[in-house]
Amino acid sequence: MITQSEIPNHVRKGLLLLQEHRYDVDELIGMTEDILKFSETLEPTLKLIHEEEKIGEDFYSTIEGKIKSYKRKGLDDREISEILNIDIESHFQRYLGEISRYYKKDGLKNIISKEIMDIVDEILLLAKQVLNKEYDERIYLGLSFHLERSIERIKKGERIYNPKLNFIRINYENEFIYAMKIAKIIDSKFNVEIPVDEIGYLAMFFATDFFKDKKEMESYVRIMVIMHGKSTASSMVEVVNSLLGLDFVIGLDMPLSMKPQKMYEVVKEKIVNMNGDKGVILMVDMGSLTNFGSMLAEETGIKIRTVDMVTTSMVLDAGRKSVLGYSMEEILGKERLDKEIYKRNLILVACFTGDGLARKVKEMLVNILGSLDLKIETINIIGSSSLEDRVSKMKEDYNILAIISSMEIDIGGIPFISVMDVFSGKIKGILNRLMVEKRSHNGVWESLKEHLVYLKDELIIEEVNTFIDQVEKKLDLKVSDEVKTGMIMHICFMMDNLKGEKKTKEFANLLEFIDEYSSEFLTVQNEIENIRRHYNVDIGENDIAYILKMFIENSKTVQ
Amino acid sequence: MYNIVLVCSAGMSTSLLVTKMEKAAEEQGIKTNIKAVAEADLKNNLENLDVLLLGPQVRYILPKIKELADPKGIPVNVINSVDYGTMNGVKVLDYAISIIEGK
Repeated sequence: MITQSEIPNHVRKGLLLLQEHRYDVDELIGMTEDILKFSETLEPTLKLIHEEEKIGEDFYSTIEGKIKSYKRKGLDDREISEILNIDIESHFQRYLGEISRYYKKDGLKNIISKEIMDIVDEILLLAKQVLNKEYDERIYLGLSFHLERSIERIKKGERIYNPKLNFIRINYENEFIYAMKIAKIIDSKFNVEIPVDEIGYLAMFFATDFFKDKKEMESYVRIMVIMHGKSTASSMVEVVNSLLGLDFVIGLDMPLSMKPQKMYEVVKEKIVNMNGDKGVILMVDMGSLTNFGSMLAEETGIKIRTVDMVTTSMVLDAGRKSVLGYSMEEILGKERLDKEIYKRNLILVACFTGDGLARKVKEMLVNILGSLDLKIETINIIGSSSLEDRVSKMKEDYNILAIISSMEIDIGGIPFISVMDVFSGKIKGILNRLMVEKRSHNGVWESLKEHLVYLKDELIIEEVNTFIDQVEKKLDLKVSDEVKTGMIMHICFMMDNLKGEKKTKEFANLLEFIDEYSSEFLTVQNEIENIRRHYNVDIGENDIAYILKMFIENSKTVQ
Repeated sequence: MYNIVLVCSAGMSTSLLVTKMEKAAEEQGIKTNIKAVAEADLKNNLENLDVLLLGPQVRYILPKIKELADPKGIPVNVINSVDYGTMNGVKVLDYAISIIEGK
């Protein structure tokens, strides 16, 4: 193998020019190939063409072209979809940007048919009411052009493919539902049948995140870079922000002469004065800065995570994701728990201070439950950081059986038990049942693990369990414990089969079913997203339909 | 010879249970013919049947299946979730046979 070091110096220097000729190089070797073959005998297949994209050309053709070329290169559907995911967003923005640069609304009459313009008027007016958002001229123009093309395309029976469909459906639920509605309007007006992929595109027009304004920035995870040195942080941030095209990431320099305490105050002031509702990620280099996060979180009550030994590309990645509206967990990536599987059972007793009622109840519990193998802890409800945060931290080390309090507490799928049950003595029975339930889940895993080919971690049981609880809550229905066990089995096997790329049996009358339960369908899809992402499988519409059906039908028979 | 059919929604989890039950039957020297069938395919699988057992997650189809099976005199029931969850072939086989014998 030849590496860079074996190449003569003048060639290596050429690599520095890469940036200027990026376009040519990509054209030559393609964005996705690692291996380039040279042959003496075969005709060179590589050509250099610079074809300017035509303004107003619909992106279907572009996407279709790309799919074809990737297919030829032998990529499978998933890889292609991943590549296109990255591509399509920027394409979409450019598309809208260019159109509005070249056309104005008044001039549209000559290009776009009146029916289209009428329906776009109608759609956007309705959108304003339904989605409560303002749409500017860009969207008007973009949507007009887009509809003209897409209707024509659908009429001709040409296929429309949207690789981002699932992403849109999950992240822009309301827009997607609205898009389904207007698709029906368009259907009847133009006598066509808009396919679901196209509905995905329509939803993109209504998802204003694609056309974010700076003033909307408040509801994002904030990224703050803090580093030693006079300008290290600010330089890094300058690079990142200019690549993002937004003044988004914040940089704070800490000159070596500055005392950490002083710096701490500077950071605190900055954090307090910005809206960090969705959390703040501190990206730091080393030393005392790595400790700021936890202290600040405690003092300010804002959700803060720290990442150390940060590089520019890490900041860029975090910045990009947070601009796209990712949550803190998504940006940082869920760290796998590599701790030992066995966790001790824990019961939490909560009251306002954690000192009054909770302490009394704890004493009682110790007496009643002396024989059971579990730990009892008190916890205060009004603490410096949110109860949910503290409990989810405890979950890492303990198996939290229940939370006991005088007022109903609903966090993260942990069963709630009223203090009254402690006083009345019912508590022992309830806890026994909870422990048996936990154990029977363990039993499920014992028998499952021999038969699952790809899933190797008991965690899946927990995850599926949480998923079921969440769906029950969101859809406001209940299924019995027996059904739950069955569903856990079903979903585990489903995941294993999907990992092994086995096809799921087709769900009978899938489209009618989705149509009938469209919002429930989206809920299940949303809730299973964590599992999907964790195991990186494609969970298809058939799979979702089977699961949803189990929820809906079984909840009708719960006594 | 006992003819047993297990039903679940997509045939995801019951096929494993079939294997377990077959093994249990073999060890006990019992002759069986056990199949896993997805709900949608059941209509075509109702001949020569002694018992139908449902996975707990498709408990809701019990009335519908009964409608299909009753005229043919085939008993239908739901598998106990603990046995199902632990894929206990021996117990489910016992259960199936007890239904068939008791009918």
